[in-house]
Amino acid sequence: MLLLTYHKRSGSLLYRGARKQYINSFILSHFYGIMPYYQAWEEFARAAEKLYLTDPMKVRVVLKYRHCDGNLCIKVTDDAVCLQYKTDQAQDVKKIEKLHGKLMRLMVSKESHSGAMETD
Amino acid sequence: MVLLENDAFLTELTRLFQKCRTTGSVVITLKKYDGRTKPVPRKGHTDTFDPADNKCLLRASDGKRKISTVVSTKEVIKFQMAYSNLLRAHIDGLKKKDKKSKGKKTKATQ
Repeated sequence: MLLLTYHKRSGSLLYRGARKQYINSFILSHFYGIMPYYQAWEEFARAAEKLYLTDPMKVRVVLKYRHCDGNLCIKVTDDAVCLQYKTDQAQDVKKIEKLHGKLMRLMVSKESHSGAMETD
Repeated sequence: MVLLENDAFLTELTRLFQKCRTTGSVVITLKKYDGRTKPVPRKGHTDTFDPADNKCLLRASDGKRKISTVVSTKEVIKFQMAYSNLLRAHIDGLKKKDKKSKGKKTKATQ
């Protein structure tokens, strides 16, 4: 039986699947444990940054590049919520690399703000 | 897992990308790091560790070889510039946008 719960960390309504994994509600599939790929980059970037800010120590960012298949995949997860974006377009490389850099800078800076970019 | 200095890490990462051009994938993981070198103590024991707030851990692997490095605030600017140049230079096998090439003479850029 699918239960609908409010996941505080990501601020969204999620299904609680059989394997105790949270599936984002906008995926209408009933398969348990499926990790949704975002279709829109903007949405993914916003959700990723939001997830990081809720608990910086828990979140990790994974980048996987396959030259032989010509695709790049970025994943941001805190082991409860998993956000993924996959692409085969060259124009997305810059966006992904920028987000990666932004998160890296957030990690090394002393957290005293909520996502605003600091100018050194 | 080989822990390297920032520059050595970038060199090795370049090598990983070059190795995986025909087959395989390069996986890079980024995570905030509080500087721990000892395991977290059991319940009841006091944790005498003072977590640092300004470091992150970068790991890279091609499935066989694993490398890692720690980046802190002092090195992040220099490292990030070199790192993003590296990524842009090596992640080049993706499809280019070719909406405008329809109807015009196509310039083969492959």
